[in-house]
Amino acid sequence: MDSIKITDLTYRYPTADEDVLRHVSLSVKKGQLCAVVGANGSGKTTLCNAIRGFVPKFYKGEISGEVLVNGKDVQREEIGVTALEVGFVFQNPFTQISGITDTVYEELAYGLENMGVEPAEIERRVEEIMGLTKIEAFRDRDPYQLSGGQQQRVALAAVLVMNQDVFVIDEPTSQLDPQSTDDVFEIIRLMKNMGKTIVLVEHKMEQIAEYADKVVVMDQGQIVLEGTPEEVFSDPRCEAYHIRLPQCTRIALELKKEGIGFEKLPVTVQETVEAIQAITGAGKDGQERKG
Amino acid sequence: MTEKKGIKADFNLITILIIPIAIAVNFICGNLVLTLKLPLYLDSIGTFLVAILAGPWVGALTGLLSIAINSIADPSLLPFALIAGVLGGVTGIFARKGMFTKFWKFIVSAIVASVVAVIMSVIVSYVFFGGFDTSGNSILIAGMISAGVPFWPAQVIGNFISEVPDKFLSLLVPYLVIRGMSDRYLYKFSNGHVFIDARKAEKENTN
Amino acid sequence: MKNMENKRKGIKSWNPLTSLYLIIVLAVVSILFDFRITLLTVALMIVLAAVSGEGASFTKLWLKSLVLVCVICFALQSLFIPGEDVLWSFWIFAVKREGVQKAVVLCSRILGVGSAILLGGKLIDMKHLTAVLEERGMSPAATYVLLSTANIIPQMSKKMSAILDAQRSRGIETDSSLLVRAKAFFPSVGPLLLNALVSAEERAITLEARAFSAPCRKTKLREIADTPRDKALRAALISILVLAIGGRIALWIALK
Repeated sequence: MDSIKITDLTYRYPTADEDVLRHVSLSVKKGQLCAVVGANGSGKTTLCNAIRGFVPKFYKGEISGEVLVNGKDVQREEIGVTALEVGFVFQNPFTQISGITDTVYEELAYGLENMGVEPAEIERRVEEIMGLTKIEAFRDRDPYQLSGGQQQRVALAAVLVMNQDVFVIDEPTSQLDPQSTDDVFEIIRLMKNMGKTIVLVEHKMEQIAEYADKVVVMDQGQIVLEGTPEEVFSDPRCEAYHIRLPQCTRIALELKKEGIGFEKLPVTVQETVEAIQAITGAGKDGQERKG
Repeated sequence: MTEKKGIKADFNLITILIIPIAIAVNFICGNLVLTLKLPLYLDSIGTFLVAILAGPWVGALTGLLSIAINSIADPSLLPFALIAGVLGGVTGIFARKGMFTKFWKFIVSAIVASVVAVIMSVIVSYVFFGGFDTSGNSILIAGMISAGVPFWPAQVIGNFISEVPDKFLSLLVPYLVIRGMSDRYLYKFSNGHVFIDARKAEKENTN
Repeated sequence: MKNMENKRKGIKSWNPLTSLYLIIVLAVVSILFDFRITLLTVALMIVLAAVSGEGASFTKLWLKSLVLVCVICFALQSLFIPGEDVLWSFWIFAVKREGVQKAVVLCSRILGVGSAILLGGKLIDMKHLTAVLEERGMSPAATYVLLSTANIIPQMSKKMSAILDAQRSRGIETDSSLLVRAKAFFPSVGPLLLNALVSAEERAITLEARAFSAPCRKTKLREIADTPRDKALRAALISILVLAIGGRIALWIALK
């Protein structure tokens, strides 16, 4: 079943002269992680906002086409109702603090309070998610006093605790250092293992190659490439759309230029190691060269 | 496009979020003025900003709340919440009528706001403090009275000196900030269309 | 956390709504009658603050703000309110009976209501009060505005001092001439204001993500106890209020 189904979506911001999304159609199956990549201004964030219903409800403007989440038409739903269906996390860690809680614990509880969950159940769920996302150490700290990376993890946990089926995560690591990036991806992997459907906008292709089931490339408001990470990253058109390939794929491409044949282009470290081992182990010329 | 009208539309989520920010701006500018030792208050910049963006109701509420919250630490400020509320409301009404879209209109609005401020502070200060509150202008008024100026003219002159330059500057800051705001951002506020329409009209005129 | 709640002393252990009733009763009673009752009420407030463990902090704030205001107000009133009956004079100043009478009335009002507000600020936890009021039908938006304001002011103050430090390092001194100081104001406020406005938009998205406008009944992680004692206290406070107002009216009729 498709958790998210977008059909022929076209949208324009109220004060803009051009459409920011043009005839976008996309479906994401339940439990899939769909990564959205593309140059700045290609419409990735707007797509996220459309799935959550912020476009057009919050931003206004003209829209045509349909967005279904779990079979429900997001545009017809009230903006507050969609909160119960779609979890939403975005770029800036500093503005993803509710602003009225004194501790991380209360911050995680805030969404559940708004959903009307009973106090005992809130405590149980907050404890569980704090454990899973490994943020217990901050439990009693003021969310404002945390570092950006810590805040982003709290933001993810505060949305994850609400336990929706679908999560939209818009560039969660673009303002973070490498260590925090790894921590954030650890949580995204956790979400994936919990069976959540995830739409993730991200620039870090290595992580996409490792975690994504599906990659979508956007350019000027349109989806121009779509497929598994292997399919997309081995497509020569990536360059034209300014998509930086994963390091491994780039190495493999360089090796290919040197005359080393890969059956298919590797996209993760694991695959690259295996592919190189296969070539060097099986092919004699590899060993000869070495010797 | 049809949109909800009335108070409800004024108090949308982004407005609710901007009220605390406005109150904080009032508070911080008020303190900054003390730090910089400027002879002004400038403690209503935030109120005027939201009033211009989101209309009279939000403006009045922000003004009232701003001073009310400050008065938890200094209760003698509480009566002045009335002035701040009325000024927020008046500014909001003027903004809705498009009176902050051009510089000459801004000047007219600022004059009206100043007059309202002077009248209100004379009244409030007389009713609650007998004409002598704890602000610096009480000394001035007292000085004028002992120099032979009659009571009421002294009150009006004293409040005129303390209010008019202050209100002009306090309105100038939001006026300039809004001029620098993008249409996309303005659009989210109930008065935003007033400014966007004015910009469009101006563009068409120059073309 | 629970232990800390139990440690709240005196009035602070009451349901915040009960405390709010108390503050209102104190404020009303203090202005209904003449200055002697006001002084008594204010004395009672100091005792209540002390019982609740806020005696020192309340008195300090009280002296610094209200008493100071009253002294200034009293002096200016008695000297500059026009009047005929001069009680005492020196140089160009003269204390007049009319001024003193007016000053006593005004100052006791300021002192009575002011002290009550100050006491409320010390004894009532804003977070608890909004939680109770929300339970009784106040809009969650109002809760947000109040709590967020309390949180945002220290945040922005911190940013402001960072901006000021930056300005100082660029050579703008707070002790230079008026024009230079005035010029420092706008570049300090501008970025702060714009940043705050831009972040409001994202904060709105954050709140939507946390189901702020979800159309369901909201719960509170920590429910604030409303004990039978609180209910009895509130009933008693309302009776006192009614009696005081009634007494004032009776007094007024009798005097006529």
